[in-house]
Amino acid sequence: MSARTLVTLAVIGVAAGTAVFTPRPAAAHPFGDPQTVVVTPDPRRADVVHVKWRVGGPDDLTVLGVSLGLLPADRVRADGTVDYRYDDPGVVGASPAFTGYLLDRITVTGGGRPCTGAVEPIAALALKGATAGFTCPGPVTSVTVAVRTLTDLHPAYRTMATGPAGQRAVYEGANDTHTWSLTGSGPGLGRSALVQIAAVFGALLLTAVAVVFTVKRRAFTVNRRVSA
Amino acid sequence: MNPGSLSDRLQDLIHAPGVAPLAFVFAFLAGAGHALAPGHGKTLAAAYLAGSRGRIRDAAWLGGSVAAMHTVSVLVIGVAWTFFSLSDLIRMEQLTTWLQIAAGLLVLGTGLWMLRRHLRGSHSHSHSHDHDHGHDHGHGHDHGHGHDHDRGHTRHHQHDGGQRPGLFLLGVSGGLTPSPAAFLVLATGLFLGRAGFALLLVLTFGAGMAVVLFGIGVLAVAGSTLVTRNARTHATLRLATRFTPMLAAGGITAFGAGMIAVAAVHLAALA
Repeated sequence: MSARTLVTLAVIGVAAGTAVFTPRPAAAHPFGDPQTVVVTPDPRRADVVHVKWRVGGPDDLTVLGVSLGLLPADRVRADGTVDYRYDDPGVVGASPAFTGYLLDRITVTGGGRPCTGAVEPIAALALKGATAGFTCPGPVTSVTVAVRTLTDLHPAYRTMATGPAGQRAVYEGANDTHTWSLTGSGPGLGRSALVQIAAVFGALLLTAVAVVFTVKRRAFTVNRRVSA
Repeated sequence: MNPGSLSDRLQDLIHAPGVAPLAFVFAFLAGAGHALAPGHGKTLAAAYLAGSRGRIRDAAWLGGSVAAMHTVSVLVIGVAWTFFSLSDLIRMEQLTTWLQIAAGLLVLGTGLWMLRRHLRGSHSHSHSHDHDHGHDHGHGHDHGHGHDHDRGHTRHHQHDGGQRPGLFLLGVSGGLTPSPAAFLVLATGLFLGRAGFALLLVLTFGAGMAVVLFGIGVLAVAGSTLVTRNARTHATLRLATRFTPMLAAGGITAFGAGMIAVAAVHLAALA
């Protein structure tokens, strides 16, 4: 059998054969929501701000539990995969180490002075997250919130943050503080996003039309030359 | 979620003022890298193209439909997550697992359709033989081997464009579940008010995926053509050309069933 034939057989073997081998879509794909925080003013007290934190994927909470010493270290395997279990969020949420971590990593300042945080009772941490109430020294109309959760585990973590009146921000390693207006209106990101997305698709459509037009015109010119 | 290094760079670049050309290079490479990761229908595409003796154009169709579906999927989920509180309705890991089940069903359906087509082809040999004779003569193909009408039959379908629905379904299933990196880039863009730039990056990411899948498709088509050409001289290859379509159809069916099973187990664990 020639070398070429062997290569051919190998290509076909890989093509047809590997289709039967273990499908691993689950290993490649499932991913959780990004880490989020929501900043809301207290409707009754002008000096209180609530920050609700919600973890990303289910494995993130397990990794955090391991780093806080609440879960066994062997839950994070050598290859980086995480053996997360359904009762992990309960173990993490019930621990004062976790509430301490949250108040250490999320800080609020109002009028240049730090606000005192307290984590509200946690129920269903993985699903509903945890909320901390921050009491500032006096009434506040804007607060500066710093979020540094999980970036100690991996610097690439991002936090998608939403505030009053549709304000949005992204917290990340180097950019971990943001000032939120508690009274004013947001910058209308939704409308801006719609316009930008429509503009991209419009430009794509125009390009496609231009390409089709050019190709057809060229074909027409060639045909005319041939017939002439 | 543990973001990969290329996607980290992408998210860093999304902050850069103006439109950073480097970001597009990273997006393209990230897309190509994502398509090379396991579970992206590469083997399915190769099996399909080898099994149905597709053409280069079919490989392009496949890559294109994966890229288009992936962009649509990222856009719909990203916008729903950012502006319509999608996470209050369903957790992302549940949504993506359901999408995997849907993708698995599409693959299973395509596999069963291929099996049925091949089985039907072998049952109606005498009929298809008569039919293909005329067709094959017209193209100047040689005859005289028992297996040739099997080949002719497949080619006949190919000229009809009969493989397009299968290719399209495989492409859609390959792009149905968004990649975490692309989703994060779009979500970051939407949160920062840079939706247009982020969408362009997602499109470039899809182009990276499409190029890799197209390349793999071309390899499968070239391999399959080589086998067909050599089949005249080698008995083993003759046997291979005869069974490859059935093997590919069976493999795709098994893969689809496997995808559904894995996703269902994962979904049960999440519940």
